[in-house]
Formats: sequence, C-alpha cells, structure tokens
Amino acid sequence: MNRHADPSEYDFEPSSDELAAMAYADGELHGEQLEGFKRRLAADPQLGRAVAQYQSLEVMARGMAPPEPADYEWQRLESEPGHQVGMRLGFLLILIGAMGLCALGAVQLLQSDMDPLQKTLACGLLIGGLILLACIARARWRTLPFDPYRNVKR
Amino acid sequence: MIVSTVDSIPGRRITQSFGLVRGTTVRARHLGMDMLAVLKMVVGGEVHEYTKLVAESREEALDRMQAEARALGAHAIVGFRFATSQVSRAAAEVVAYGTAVALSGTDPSSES
Repeated sequence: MNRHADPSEYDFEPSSDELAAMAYADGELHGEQLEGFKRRLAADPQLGRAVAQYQSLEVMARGMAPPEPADYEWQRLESEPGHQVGMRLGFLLILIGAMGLCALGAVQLLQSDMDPLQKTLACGLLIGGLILLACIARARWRTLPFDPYRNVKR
Repeated sequence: MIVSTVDSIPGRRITQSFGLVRGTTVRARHLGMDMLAVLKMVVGGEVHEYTKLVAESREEALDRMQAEARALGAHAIVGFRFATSQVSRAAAEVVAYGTAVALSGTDPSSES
C-alpha cells in the first residue's frame, strides 16, 4: 500500500487499491472479495483512511443542500480576524481557568485537614478521571480520520 | 440501494422480504462546541452545533441500516423511518429502520 491520494484529486488513474476502496465504500464488494478487503482494512490504517474519505464524499453528496444567506453571513463573520482572535482568546482563558481551578483544588485538598485515607481516595478520583479523559481523548484523536460523518453540515 | 418511505417501489415487484433492518448511533459534540451552543441559546437563532450533530447522526444511522440490508443481500429498503430519542442532554440518538426487500429482475450489486 504505497499511495492513497485524496479522492477529490481525479487527475490520475486510480490504483487497484483505490478502486477497491471505492467499491467497498459503495458496498459493491461481495463474498471472498469483501472478506479479503476487510482483512486488509484491519491491518492497513492508510487503506482505512482512503475508505473513510470515499465514504465522506458519498455522505456529503447525499446530504448536499443549497446554502442559505445566513450560512454565508456566518462564514463571513467567522473568517473575520477579530472573531477568530476572540474565539481563541475565549477558549484559552476557559482552558487556563479550568486547569487553574483543578490545580488549586488539588493543592487545597492536599493541605486540608482531611483524613489521609480520604485524601488518598480523593486524589485517586481526580487522577483517575484525568487518566480516563486522556485515554478517551487519545482514542478519539486517532479515530478522527476514519470518521466520515464529521463534515456533515445539516 | 433504493431507500423508500413508502411500502413499495413503483415499477418494481417485491419478491422477498428480509425483515427489519436498522441502524443506530448516538453522537455527541465535544465540550467546546457544547459551550458555544449554550451561548447561542442565550442569543437565539439556529444552533449550528446541534444541527450538525443531528445531521451526522442521521447519516451514520442511515449508512448502518443500508449496510445491514446489503449484508442480507437486499436490493432495497421500504417503509423507511427515522426515530430519535434523548440519551443525554448533549447526545443525539437516531435510529433508522425499515424493511429490507429483494426486487424482481435485479442483481444486488447493481443497486448499491
């Protein structure tokens, strides 16, 4: 598996892998062909990304709706530098605030006159929650390229 | 694959029914989008974050239903419907369901 080009670029002759990925995304593979392709799909993340791209094109084509005036206005406003800076600043301050509050809570917890066992359990709860969040965020980040539905607008 | 909300496909004859096929999904927006959606609710108008969430769920459920029908060797789905329910405040559940059928004089691969 050397090359999976962006399916939007049609200035080349598709390879056999790309043709198979298109056929799989369209549900045109059957029997042994299908089983063989599924085995390859399980072992080759790049092939999976190609299939996801073809699936997302199909999904977008199916859900295509003419843009409304409000859509254009939203896009125009969202592309304004002031809006972009405001959004980033807002999210950054929220993130800093949330992390600061978590850190402050942890320090207060450790300095409190709680029973050592209670402190240990509370710390376990906090650290466990953060570890779970990190694991789930990592899994979501890794599977994002395989999600053909994230570009659906409405 | 033909997906129809009525119980027949005009001009085609149903030769076999494979029974119920369905696709289900529950999707959620991430916390950042949820915060923006809450702020948009304050000022009113369309909440695009949730429109997108429901649209994503609808497409995914539809594809899963079609995949199930294809696996059964069906040519079409008739009596198709969407159903939705609330799993939690920030998650959208959509169920797509219908009856998978075979049509006369067609090859399953030609209907994909």
